[in-house]
Amino acid sequence: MWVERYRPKSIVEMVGNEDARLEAYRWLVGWRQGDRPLLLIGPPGTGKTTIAKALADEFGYELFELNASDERTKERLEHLIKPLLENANIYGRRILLFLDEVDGLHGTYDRGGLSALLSLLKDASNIPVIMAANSDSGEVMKELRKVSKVVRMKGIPPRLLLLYLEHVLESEGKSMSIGDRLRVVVECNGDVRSMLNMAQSLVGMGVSGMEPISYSTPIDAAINSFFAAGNMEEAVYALSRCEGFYTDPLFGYDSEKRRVDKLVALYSSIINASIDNDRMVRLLEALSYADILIARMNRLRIWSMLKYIDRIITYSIFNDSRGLSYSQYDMPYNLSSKAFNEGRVLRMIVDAIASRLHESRHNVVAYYMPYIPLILGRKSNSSSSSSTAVRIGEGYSITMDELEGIAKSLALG
Amino acid sequence: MIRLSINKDFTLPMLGKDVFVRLMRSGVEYDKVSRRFRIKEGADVASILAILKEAVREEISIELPCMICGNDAGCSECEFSSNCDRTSVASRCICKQCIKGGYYGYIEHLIPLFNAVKSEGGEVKQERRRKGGRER
Ligand SMILES: [Zn+2]
Ligand SMILES: [Zn+2]
Repeated sequence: MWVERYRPKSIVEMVGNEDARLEAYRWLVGWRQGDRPLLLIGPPGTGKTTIAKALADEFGYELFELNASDERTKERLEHLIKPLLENANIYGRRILLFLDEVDGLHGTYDRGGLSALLSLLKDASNIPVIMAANSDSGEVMKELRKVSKVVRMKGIPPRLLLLYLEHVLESEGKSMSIGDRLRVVVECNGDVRSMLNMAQSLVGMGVSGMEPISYSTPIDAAINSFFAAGNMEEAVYALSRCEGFYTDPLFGYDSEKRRVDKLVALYSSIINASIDNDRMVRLLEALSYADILIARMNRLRIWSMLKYIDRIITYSIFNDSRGLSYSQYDMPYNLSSKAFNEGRVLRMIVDAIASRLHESRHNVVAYYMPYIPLILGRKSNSSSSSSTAVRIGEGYSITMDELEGIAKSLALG
Repeated sequence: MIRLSINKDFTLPMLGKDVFVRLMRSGVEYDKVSRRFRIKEGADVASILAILKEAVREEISIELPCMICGNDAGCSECEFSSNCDRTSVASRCICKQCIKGGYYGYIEHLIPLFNAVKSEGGEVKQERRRKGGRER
């Protein structure tokens, strides 16, 4: 893998964030017992982990890496790190502690986690500690900034990414069309690792030119194999295939849009399925939850979490979605994508309808929600979506006027 | 077109007191003698841009400095200009001339900077020395 082969072995070999790297270097060069830990703040892929690894390599430290948001509880932090510190003294090993994703310790939910971390930092003052965070907001970060040397990292400018990509291609003796190089640089969202992965797969496939790579699996086949999967692992795999490039994406080729595509495909298949209401409530709720997560991850640029999305979706809808099949919903897709992109909006709409109709949120999700986009997308009296909406509305004894009233009062029209 | 240089002085048309004050609050410095502006290290470039966009009708282009030669990197003519959010990427890029030196040219420029840090003994020792502290 290129990502492994070209992982910078020293901090000077990285690209971008020159000032931040110099500051981090300065911190470790001058480090002595009792000094503040280093807190690297910046979006994923800018090189926080690489800095920690490269510094450890260069200065002969053994890197001990922990994901702070995985090891949430006080007990865990203490059980994992305290013995390490004691051993460090006993065996005289030079240890550099790297705590990744410290912004994942949520102060409000997990006061214990933060105070454990703070007391741990006190105990760890005999070894250098580097912490990394994607986001700078929240109580936890406020507290951590107070006790740390803060170094901020930013996205790597595309030209520098291109410089690095060309270095790797040259070292590998591979070539790529300029169009592909530019595309890879732009699509990687400033993340060196995903740039190299993308480039390697493009070179490996022998694809050139600006044409998108297309898997032979179109989205309907991928979704169908998800519904038909015999176990969770198969289902997760099927879902992950939806995110590849395929020939006819509704929302576009970049991965953020493809995730929307995938959710909409699931959504339309679910609401078109003839299943009982309870089952539909559960499925739609699970899906809107996944969507809220994705929107959050996109907003905070927590790309590292996105790999869990297929798993989250699969685990939450697997049982209820057996035997369904792909179905394209007859509605304006931009509307659904909007609702899906902003999970909060979806919640808001559900809450508004629920209070207006004195219904439970569950019932609203099941009975009313699917028809709102239909009504809003309705063109005069003759369109097919309109007649579908009327038919569905009649089925539930809701008149078009009532539905339209709801839509208008939500000011979505 | 107004060119807004990061880490470098630039000029602005007359903007009125209100805009001026808001810019100062967002981390822009003004040198009365040279009548030039400068964006402070770590200032929120996005909000500076927003204030200017509101105040002037001209197009505003953010120019990153080239980390090697210090000149403008040439962002307004860059092949990535529409895909590069200069308010959020690192505050330096590399210009068309210097990029010809390739990756190794870039590294060679950085090596002396890191070596200098090493021979100075890093930040803490420096601070302690300055304070006339307890270092032995
Ligand atoms: Zn230059
Ligand atoms: Zn540029």
